[in-house]
Amino acid sequence: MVQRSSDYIIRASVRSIPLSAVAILLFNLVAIPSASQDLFAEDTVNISAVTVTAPASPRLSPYTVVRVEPAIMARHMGGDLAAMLQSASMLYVKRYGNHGLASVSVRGMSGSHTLVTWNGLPLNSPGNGYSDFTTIPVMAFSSARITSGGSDLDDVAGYIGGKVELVNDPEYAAGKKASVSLGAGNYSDYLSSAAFTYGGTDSYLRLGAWAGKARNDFRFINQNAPGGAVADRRTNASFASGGIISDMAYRTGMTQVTAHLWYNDTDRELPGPVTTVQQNFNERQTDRSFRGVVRLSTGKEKLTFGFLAGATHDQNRYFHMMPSNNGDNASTTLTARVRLAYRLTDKTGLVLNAGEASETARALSYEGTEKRNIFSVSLSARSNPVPALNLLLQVRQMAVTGIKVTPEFTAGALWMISPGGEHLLRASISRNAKLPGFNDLYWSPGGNPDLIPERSTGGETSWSFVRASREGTRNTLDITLHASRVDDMIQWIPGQSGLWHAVNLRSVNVKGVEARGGTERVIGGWKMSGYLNYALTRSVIAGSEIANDRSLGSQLIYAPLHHANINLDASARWFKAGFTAAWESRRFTTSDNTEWLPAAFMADAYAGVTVPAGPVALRSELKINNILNIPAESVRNYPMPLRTVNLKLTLTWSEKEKEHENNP
Amino acid sequence: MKTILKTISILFLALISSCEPVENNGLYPAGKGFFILNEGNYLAGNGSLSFYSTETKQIYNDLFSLANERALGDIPSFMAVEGGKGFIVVNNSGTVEAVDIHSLESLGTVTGLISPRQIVTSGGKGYISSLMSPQVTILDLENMLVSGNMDISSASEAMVIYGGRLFSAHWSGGNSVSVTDLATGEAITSITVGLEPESMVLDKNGKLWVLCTGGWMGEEIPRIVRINPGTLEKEKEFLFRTVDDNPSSLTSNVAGDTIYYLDEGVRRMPVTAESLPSVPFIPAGNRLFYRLMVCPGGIIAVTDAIDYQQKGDLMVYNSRGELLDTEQAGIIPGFMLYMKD
Repeated sequence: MVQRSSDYIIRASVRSIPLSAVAILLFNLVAIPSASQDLFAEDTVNISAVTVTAPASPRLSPYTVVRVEPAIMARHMGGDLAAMLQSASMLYVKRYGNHGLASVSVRGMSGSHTLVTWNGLPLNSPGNGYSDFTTIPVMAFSSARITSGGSDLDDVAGYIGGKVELVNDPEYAAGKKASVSLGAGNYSDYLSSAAFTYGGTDSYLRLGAWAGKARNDFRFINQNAPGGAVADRRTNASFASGGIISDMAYRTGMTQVTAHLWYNDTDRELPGPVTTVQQNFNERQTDRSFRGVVRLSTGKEKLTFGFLAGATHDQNRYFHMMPSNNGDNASTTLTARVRLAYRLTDKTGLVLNAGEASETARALSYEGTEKRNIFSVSLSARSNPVPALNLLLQVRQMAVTGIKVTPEFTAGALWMISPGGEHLLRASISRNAKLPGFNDLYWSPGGNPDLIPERSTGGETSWSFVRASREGTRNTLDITLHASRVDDMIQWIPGQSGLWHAVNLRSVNVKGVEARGGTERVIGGWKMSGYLNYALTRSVIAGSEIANDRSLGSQLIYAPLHHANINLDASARWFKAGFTAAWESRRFTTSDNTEWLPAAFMADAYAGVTVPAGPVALRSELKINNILNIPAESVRNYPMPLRTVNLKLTLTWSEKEKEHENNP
Repeated sequence: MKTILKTISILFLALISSCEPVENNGLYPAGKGFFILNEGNYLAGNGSLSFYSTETKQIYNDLFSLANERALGDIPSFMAVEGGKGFIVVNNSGTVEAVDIHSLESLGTVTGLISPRQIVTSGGKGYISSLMSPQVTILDLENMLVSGNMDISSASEAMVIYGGRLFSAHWSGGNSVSVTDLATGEAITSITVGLEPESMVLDKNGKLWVLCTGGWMGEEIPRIVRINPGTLEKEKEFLFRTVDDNPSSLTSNVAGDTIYYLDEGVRRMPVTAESLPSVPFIPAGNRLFYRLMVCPGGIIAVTDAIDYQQKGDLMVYNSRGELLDTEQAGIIPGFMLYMKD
């Protein structure tokens, strides 16, 4: 409050997220005749003349791509994407308290450096570059993939941290299914959802809706209260959210068309920080988003074609006890992409991506409605000169209104060490760029239209192991070493008299080790699984143009050096139980690393039973969050709840009764 | 042998103790110096209190938390001393902490204030300005209780008491100085000055000087206005060069014959001057000066918040503008208050 800097106001009033929109068309996924050992077939696999439009194994990418296990997604159904990624990935989730604004950082970068796509449509706000992961329910997608680093150049615009891809895959031939779910937990936390799915031989339809609310007045301990630590209750923290979604798909021969619509509405009170006393400025925020996308893929012989067209419209309103601080922000992004893949020979293919994104945003602190166009073309060559070797070279050039961008590239190789593919070695190098957001460019005062893109140059190498048996045992292990340098990082710094402005200022060196292990097995009728993730990420400030800057050599704020989590599940017929634990080392909160949040450990557990009755099944699940009742903060002075309990009941109906057996 | 070692140890401890008298709970040395309020990061609640001794030429940090084993709060913005007590305004926590000025132990905390900014004292009362409220809060300093409010019709920042009147500057988005009769609490008048009056000081002649930034978006050319607090008339205006100038932190020396402010460094001018100084007395160089104070003897203290996310610097200059000392303070070192003994 003291410095009325733009930086502060950005936090408060420019959570510029959504406005309404229209959706239109198309995208493709390459359909290439494939044999099981054909590493070229990355996107689509042809099996017996049936086009299967599921992404190829992320393991076959020369850079790190990780798919969130379906079992883990199922466990988080009813929750939000932030909670799922926190406990099941190497990403660090920064969250302003329970149900608060949440962003995700990959390999030490900030949330604005992480691209989030939904069925190929970017969800990041053009204003601040962020996506609020609290407002993305797990129900809104059926699969999630995470790319670490900016190596994937298929998208229209670049990123340098990582990418979270959310996709709704059609379930052909699944028959008719329906489900209704009701949940309730501490502090008046209620959730309800319903879905209907029809999966015909060549057509697919899914309709879903959800609504939830929470008073969210949980108890916490204020350690810095005047007179000593006191127990307190969170105030001004209520939350309400709802949404509807529909997915449609149709296929014929090699051609498939899918369409996805999603409306999301969130209304939250924004609790203040708990410093010596709990602050309450009667802050509140509403976010309404409409997203629509249509994708087409088709092919013939050596040629495949894809098209995607979509739109997002986000509207964000911010309310403060002082009406002069209120915010009203809106943004619209129209996206169109084409993809053309041609198989030159049995061993070599070319893929051309071309796309256009038209971004429009307005905020009270812009001088007017700001617009820009991003057009990009990428060309990739993929080859497997020998069966065990897969090579990739990809180049992208962006053309952006008012900004000059240098070409980006990725070069990578994948070597199958063992003939069966149990052991793989991967290596890649890339150079990527991330465009400045509208706030950085146009916020008044302090926006800087002369900003240049942030640039990342780096590489990674990894070893991957997987072994599966017909008895249901599957073991995996991946170890990755990565290093990169980010230059021209955009930061808001004070100028004369405390006025802040955006500049390309610092350089950051990032290096680290990532390890992922998993095991799935069946023991005496029990299906057991366990997944372990660990990341060591050293992201330090390597260069700065600030005089007397003591942050050189220091770890970036809110970038834990260590992050680990484990997920254990066991199920047998009607019973299922699981345990999740996540640990983060200290997170520095000042750039010179003199202050930090202590290491945090959070453990959750759940147990559930399913009672089948013909085509109907009733599933009940009891979940205990923070079972060890440990006080924790993800963002300084924004406490998370102590132990909470949630009960969820789900009634499902399927015309194919076996569905219940597969999903206890 | 043990006896010898024991004797040496006792003598050594005695020697150490005699070098620096342990007063003020041993947290900081008695004697001349000044307090520094480190604002901390917005919403982080890591504001802190430091003391710089002009005698030992050392800085002593984190004094409040050392004395009370808890944080001071979010954005401590101002401090006043009255009757052996220090009153620290903590802006974004909405509190005023009363501390024993020697031990710095908390004597009480007033909570629930609406964005308090500064405090001035008179007659056992404290008057607290507010960034967001059109009222000045009246604090009973003895009992640390809010005893009332005065409606001044605008938010307020800097305040000065003169002749039984409270002069409060409407900084955020305002362009006036409100005048209130402290005896009756009634508004007397509002004097239009320039956009966003940020700081005020009285000179030796009892004239009120007001620095107006011209608006944080550069809406108008900044100015310094001199007001006669007796007649409540503007006597003189000193215009800066362009709307891009960013002056701040108007203050004066102890004698009140020279005013100082920040503008690309430290500038100073006699109160009799007819125009603003054309060049800084102490150029900022590659630093970003944040706050300014002038001590007795012409000692000038300036803070540099660096990137506002790490511990900042305190620079101490002599009256000739020569750098005497540089010390590391807390995060965003801001307001400073001189203490005699």
